Amino acid sequence: MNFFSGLLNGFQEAWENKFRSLLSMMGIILGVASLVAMMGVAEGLIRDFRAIFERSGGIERVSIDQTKVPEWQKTRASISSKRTLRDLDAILDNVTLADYATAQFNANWKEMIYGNRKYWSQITGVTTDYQPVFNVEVADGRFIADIDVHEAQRVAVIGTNVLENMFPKDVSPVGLSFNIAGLPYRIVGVLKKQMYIRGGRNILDRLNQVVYIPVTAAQSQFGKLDEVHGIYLKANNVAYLSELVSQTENTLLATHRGIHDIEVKTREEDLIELKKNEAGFKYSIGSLAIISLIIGGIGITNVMLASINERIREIGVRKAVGARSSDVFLQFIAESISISLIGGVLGILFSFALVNVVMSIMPPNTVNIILTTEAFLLGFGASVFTGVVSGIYPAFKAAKLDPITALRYE
Amino acid sequence: MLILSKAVKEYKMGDSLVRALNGVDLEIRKGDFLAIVGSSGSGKSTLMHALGLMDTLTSGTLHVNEQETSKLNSAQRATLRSQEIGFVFQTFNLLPRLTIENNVLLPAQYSRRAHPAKLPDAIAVLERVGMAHRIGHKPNELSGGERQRVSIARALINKPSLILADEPTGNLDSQNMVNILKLFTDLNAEGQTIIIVTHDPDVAKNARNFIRMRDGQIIETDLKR
Ligand SMILES: Nc1ncnc2c1ncn2[C@@H]1O[C@H](COP(=O)(O)OP(=O)(O)OP(=O)(O)O)[C@@H](O)[C@H]1O
Ligand SMILES: [Mg+2]
Repeated sequence: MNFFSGLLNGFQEAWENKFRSLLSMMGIILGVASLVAMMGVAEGLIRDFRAIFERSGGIERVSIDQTKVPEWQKTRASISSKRTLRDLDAILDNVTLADYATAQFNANWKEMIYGNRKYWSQITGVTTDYQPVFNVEVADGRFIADIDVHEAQRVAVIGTNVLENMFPKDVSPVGLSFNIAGLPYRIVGVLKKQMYIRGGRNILDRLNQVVYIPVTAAQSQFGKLDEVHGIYLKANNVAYLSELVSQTENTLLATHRGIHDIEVKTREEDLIELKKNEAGFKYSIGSLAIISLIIGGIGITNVMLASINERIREIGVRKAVGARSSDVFLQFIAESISISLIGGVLGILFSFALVNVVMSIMPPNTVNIILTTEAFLLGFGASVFTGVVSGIYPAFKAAKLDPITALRYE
Repeated sequence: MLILSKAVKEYKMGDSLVRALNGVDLEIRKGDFLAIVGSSGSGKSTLMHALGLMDTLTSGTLHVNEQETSKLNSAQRATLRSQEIGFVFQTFNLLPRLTIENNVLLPAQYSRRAHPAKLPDAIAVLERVGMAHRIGHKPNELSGGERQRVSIARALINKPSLILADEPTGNLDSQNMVNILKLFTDLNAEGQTIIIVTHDPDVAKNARNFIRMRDGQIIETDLKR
């Protein structure tokens, strides 16, 4: 008797005892359904995290942070100025492993006026490379150019919220002038609207709120010359991130006259954190599913034991006509697998229905559930595995039955 | 064909030992039609199980077609059983969920032959016992006599050397009993070796040879041959 006729036999047995089989499948159905559906939820969340991570520069983005001067350099700390545009120039000259480098000046919230409209926005001074480093996209006009930075031109690139709240609809604002904290600026570009809606809310909306101006213009209007609040690089090859870090450190150690008051930070830690979260997520889902699969497995074991008890005579007959113990073992394992297979398929269908129901009752874009083939295969595999494991004991019990005793059994 | 010598089978019953077979010597030749009679508990079924490789002996030997069987493991015995022995039971023991066709083909599943019996073979043996017209039915749609015919067909499907029938007419009325015995007689006339256990002296008369058992021993032998 081969395994497939065993499976077929199992399907028949399950069909003969529809109600009992369905009851015994309950655990498997729920287990597989929750496994597949939760995998879908996890996958959705993970993709959200990753999308946001990528949109903010991805793993290529490296930042230069201000740190405390170590104890042994405390007395000499003043010989180093903090982060300046000279650092940026040095990086652009010396750090060959970075394609782009930019500096940022945070002017914070400032009042802007256009005609009789007033609007508050976050003003950020940037350089041209800010665009590639932060993956900024311009929808209309252009971004801040090198010449704007060199000459400290009062030009601005605005986010869509600024556009919508201050400027006439249906005409391009490029070329218009408006005031930022009392000084006139000319609009040269409008950013692409950033949208990533989760929980009914655009979680990237603050990116539509920004106004970018040349870092030099920001310095002269809002701060002191040379001062910057952030320096960022874009690695040209993520394989050489650590080399990039040491190149940058060496460069900055020179401009900072040997004082260790900066730190070059990659986003690898963020990524590791992200991956840890992913793993944690999958483990907790996994353990939940394993618990329901264990319960499902116990259900199947019980039904198999009951079924074997009813079929002791059958086992005796099969052995009398030549079945080996291994044939009987295989027969009952196949039966148990066929029960769990049906359960697995029903579970996958159920998860499909479940996800559709959840997606249709929740407001759009609240949750992102992505059912992957991987999840289906896992659900399917888990059901087969449960079938094998839960069938082992009953099948073993059936296989070792003595044929004479089995035939005498009433 | 089958040679049983000095066969002893003991069962443990708590502390005491029951000797179900107590030194049985028996030779079955090809074409034999042997009836085994004896009172209840005399060891007839035990002897049948030993001959049919369903059970191992406590001591003594069994040769099947010159092959000594005591060294065989249970899987080897199962294969030899499926190829050489056909069982017919008092209670028919057809599997209720299978059709007549699949019941008859059940031993073929386990025969491990290069060309196991298939539907035409099932039809052939069912025709031989006069049941081919019921091939698609389930056992519970058949009368007792019909079920026993089907179970004889099942015993024949692998063309065994020997058919062992333990009280095959015990659950049948007299008319069916006569018919089934006629069937066995005819099969034997065609060359089939058969051993039949019975309480019924008429049945015993039907067979050409018979032995009588008591307390696990053969106390009377009549081998006309
Ligand atoms: N599994 C067992 N354990 C203990 N004793 C057993 C077992 N099987 C059979 N016996 C004993 O062995 C003896 C022979 O039993 P067996 O079934 O061979 O008798 P039988 O001649 O077939 O009787 P019957 O005509 O009633 O079928 C009996 O005393 C029986 O109680
Ligand atoms: Mg008996």
